[in-house]
Amino acid sequence: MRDPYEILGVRKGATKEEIKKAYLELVKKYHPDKFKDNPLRELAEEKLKEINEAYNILMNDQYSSYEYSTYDQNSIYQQARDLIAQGNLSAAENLLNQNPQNDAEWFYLMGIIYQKRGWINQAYRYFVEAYSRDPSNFEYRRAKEQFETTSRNYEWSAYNRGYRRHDDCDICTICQIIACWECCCDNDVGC
Amino acid sequence: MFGYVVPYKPELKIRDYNYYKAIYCGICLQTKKIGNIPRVFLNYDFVFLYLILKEHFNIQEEFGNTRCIAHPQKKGVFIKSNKILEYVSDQMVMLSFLKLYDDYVDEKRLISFTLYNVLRPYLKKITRMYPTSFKKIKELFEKQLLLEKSECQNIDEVAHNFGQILAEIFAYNDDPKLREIGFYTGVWIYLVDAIDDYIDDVKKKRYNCLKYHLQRCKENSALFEREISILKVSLDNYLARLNGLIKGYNNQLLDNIVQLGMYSKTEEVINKLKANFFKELKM
Repeated sequence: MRDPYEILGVRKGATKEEIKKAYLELVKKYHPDKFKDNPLRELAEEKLKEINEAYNILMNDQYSSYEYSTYDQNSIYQQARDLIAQGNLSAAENLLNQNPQNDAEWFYLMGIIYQKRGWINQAYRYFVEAYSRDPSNFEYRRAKEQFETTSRNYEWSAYNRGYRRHDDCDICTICQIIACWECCCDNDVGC
Repeated sequence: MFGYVVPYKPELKIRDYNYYKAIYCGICLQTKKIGNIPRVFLNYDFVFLYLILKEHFNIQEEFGNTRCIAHPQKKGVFIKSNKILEYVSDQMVMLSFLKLYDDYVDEKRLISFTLYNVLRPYLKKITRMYPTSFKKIKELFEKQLLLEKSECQNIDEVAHNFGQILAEIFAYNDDPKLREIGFYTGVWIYLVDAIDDYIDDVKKKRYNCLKYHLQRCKENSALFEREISILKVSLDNYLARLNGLIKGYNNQLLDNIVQLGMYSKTEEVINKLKANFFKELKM
């Protein structure tokens, strides 16, 4: 993606007011209504999409001014993934830390780095964050659930070996036990 | 260390319980050879270390009977000295020494400083035997102090460093498996201790690695629940790995400690924090 400032035709570091003004003018210029029955219509729609995207990025402060022009957002993630695959975790971490984004993929990749390093608590935190930002993504969900399954399995092994919390015996359990008891007693085989 | 790595007694066989106590007595008597004062620092956590090393090196043990100062009435069984027992007792003295030093630097307690000086000659004896590992542990300890001084907000960074100290202690012959066991034990101990001490630390304005995450929860119980569940899942994950590592030893006492003892301790400290967090830390 190109530099969002360039797309909107404003100088770098422009205020939100200026950006908004430039944006509204561009929207007016490329509005689809102007291109009815015009061969340029598709081109204008394409352009408008780009403008909207640039505007959203600038207004939500997702733009980090020094890195954007050199790296495409997706390629940062691709680079980080490559670095992780090579086992160069600190380089991957540096790359991600220099480009702090607020999206699910960023949190997910940070999580992977920490997981590889054995920092379980931090890794799990990042996976939870990635999942909450994009619950539909299978990769994020699997990473988060992996931790939960391990935890559950361990807990299960403790229960199977006989650890019981003694405050579990509430009124419901007692009623259930009595009910079961009565079933047995009513039968001939019971007490 | 802190005495968190203990078996869960209700599920312990009498045989295992007696054996556990015999190891404890064995370590105590072994430490006596170094000197009587270091025996004060006797700690149940080191029985775990002994058990791991004993299984790992397949040591044949001999038992003996004795009376001791603490319980002069009863005759107790103890494990006779062997190489592993020597190592464990040495490490115990060394670690308590570093702990005292840490207390002294941290809180400027005079008692710690006096004890530190009293212990110094014992330490010299021990460090001469394990010079490289002592140097490494000391470096890690200093790094730990630095991290705590700088109020490190990353839970894992501090716990990881502590885990490496225990990894160094567990790795008797540089074995990677022992190292890993030590590491996970250490990380778990550090986190459980941090949870256990959290309220106290906040009141006394001491450093606690959970502060950064838990401070934000003061007015928000939903956020608090979330933080607690994250902690619980990660602690369980450490224990699950530890459990996988000790499975190969096929020792019931070890299984009890990791699957039940450490599990119930985790539950205990988390429930304690849950019960007291909002009550005690009211503004």
